[in-house]
Amino acid sequence: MDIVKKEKHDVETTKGNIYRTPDCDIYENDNEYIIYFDIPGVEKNDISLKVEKDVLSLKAECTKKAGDNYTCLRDEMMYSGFKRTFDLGDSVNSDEIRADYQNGTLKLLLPKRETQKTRQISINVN
Amino acid sequence: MYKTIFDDLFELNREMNQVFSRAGMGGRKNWPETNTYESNDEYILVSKVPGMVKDDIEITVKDNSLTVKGKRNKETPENSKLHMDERFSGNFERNFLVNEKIDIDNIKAEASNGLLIIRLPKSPEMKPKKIKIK
Repeated sequence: MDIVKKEKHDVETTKGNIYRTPDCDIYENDNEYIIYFDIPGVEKNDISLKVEKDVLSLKAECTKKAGDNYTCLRDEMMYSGFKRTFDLGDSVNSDEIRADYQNGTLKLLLPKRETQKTRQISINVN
Repeated sequence: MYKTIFDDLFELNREMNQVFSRAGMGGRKNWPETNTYESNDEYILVSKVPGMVKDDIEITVKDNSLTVKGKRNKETPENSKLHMDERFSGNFERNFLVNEKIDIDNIKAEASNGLLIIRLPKSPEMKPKKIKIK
């Protein structure tokens, strides 16, 4: 794959560090929140997820760029990294967040705290 | 060559046009975003197709026109409500035309980490031939 080759970052540089906001879907059910991020072109090891003071931040580096001996005829997309932050409030149990990365889509499962879960209340009729 | 203020303005105009013609800016018509490259012996299309498997994408070629189409089905968790819906879903179709004749039998496509790469080798007929002088 020489058209999209891996770029080496031996020297620390700001060049090429462009971040875009990834498209994302958020679902909620009784026990957890589910977030999907579209981060195409990113390899699994380049994704970093952090929870700091109830703020979830995703940072994904794209280490790919087009090969040198190719002329770009039509330029619609960048090989950019992705960055996005969400404030979780106190609704999520941040110790048990699970992540799954497949084919450029990252899926996060954020379990709710016990106090935030939906509880069914049964009514007793005498 | 002299550099005048107009050169900067033209450059700015070009950049603005590029910004507004970029996929995703004008609705979802240009999904998936695709870059086209050319080298001496092939054309290459690189598309961003996150979360799609190879069975979802259909690639057809006729002469020098290539069509990428398919349907993106998003995975929807059961019994859940939707809070935010930004990711593309539904049918898409894009058509790409290249200038030269391509070698239809040797087209290769691969997908990894949400990037689809289609290689279209130029037809051997299109390569320059040397002619000997008798």
